[in-house]
Amino acid sequence: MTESAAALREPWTSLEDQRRVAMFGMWTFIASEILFFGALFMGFSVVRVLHPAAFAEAAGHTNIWYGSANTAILLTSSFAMVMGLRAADLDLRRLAALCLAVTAVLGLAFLIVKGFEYKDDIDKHLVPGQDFALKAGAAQIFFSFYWGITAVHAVHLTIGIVLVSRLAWLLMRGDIAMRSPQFEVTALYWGFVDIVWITVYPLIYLGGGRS
Amino acid sequence: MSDASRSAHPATTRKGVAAAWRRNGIVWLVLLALQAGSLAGAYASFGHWALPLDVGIGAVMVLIVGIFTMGLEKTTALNRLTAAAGFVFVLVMFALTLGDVYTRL
Repeated sequence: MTESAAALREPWTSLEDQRRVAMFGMWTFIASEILFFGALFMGFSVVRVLHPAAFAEAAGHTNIWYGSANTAILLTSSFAMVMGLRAADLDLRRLAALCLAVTAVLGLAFLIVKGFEYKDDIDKHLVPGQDFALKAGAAQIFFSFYWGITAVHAVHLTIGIVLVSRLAWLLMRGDIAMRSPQFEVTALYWGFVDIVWITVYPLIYLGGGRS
Repeated sequence: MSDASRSAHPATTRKGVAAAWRRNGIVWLVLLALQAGSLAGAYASFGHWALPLDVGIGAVMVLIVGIFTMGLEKTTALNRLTAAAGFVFVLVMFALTLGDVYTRL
């Protein structure tokens, strides 16, 4: 069986059609996700316009170093992901598996750093509620967005880690055709998760450096 | 791409890998440099320009990831249109909502 035949799935009769539709499906999903995260960012921006001082104070209580470390980790993971994709394209199974494994490990590293950050935030009483540490009411709204946006992003990243780990595992076992469109679709999803974080970073963390 | 064309000569494969490391490595370094720039900017006082600067650098980074990592440069016109539709409608949502908020302040 050729590589193309091994990668082909019903109802497609050509791998190119299958790839084209798979990519279009993922781009459509990403466009809907852009609108979902866009609504969250818009809500954040509106409250920021209405309460600039409280948001600046609240941003000063985020940890810019955790945020920066995680941005660098995700950018590096995307580099590994795109190299894995290229290696698969060149039929280099071991290199592709290695790059995807590195991508998944970096994704896990992001979640571990995020875990430390969440622990610090909880210790500092930065969870909205009765014991909230800051006086300004709108600071609670800032941290509601902070917890909501970063948690939803973490869920997306976790899904990405599962998808990438699965591909790395299948590659190592030799159970997936190198021409499968799954590589491109997964890489696309990972890039989107990266883009969301690149948008979160200036909105939530960078203001903290100036306070 | 046919199966035959994928069974490339080892030298061609080596060149392909080297080119990919070079190209994607440069993209990665540019992204890290932009992030370092925005982090350094977070400790400078740019006044009212601070947020536009942060968001501007973020937008450039998003564009770079979209074009080079997500492959917008070589995908089909339909996929580019789909991605653009997502961004355009977010921009419309921001313009209408913030336009309303600012006129009420």
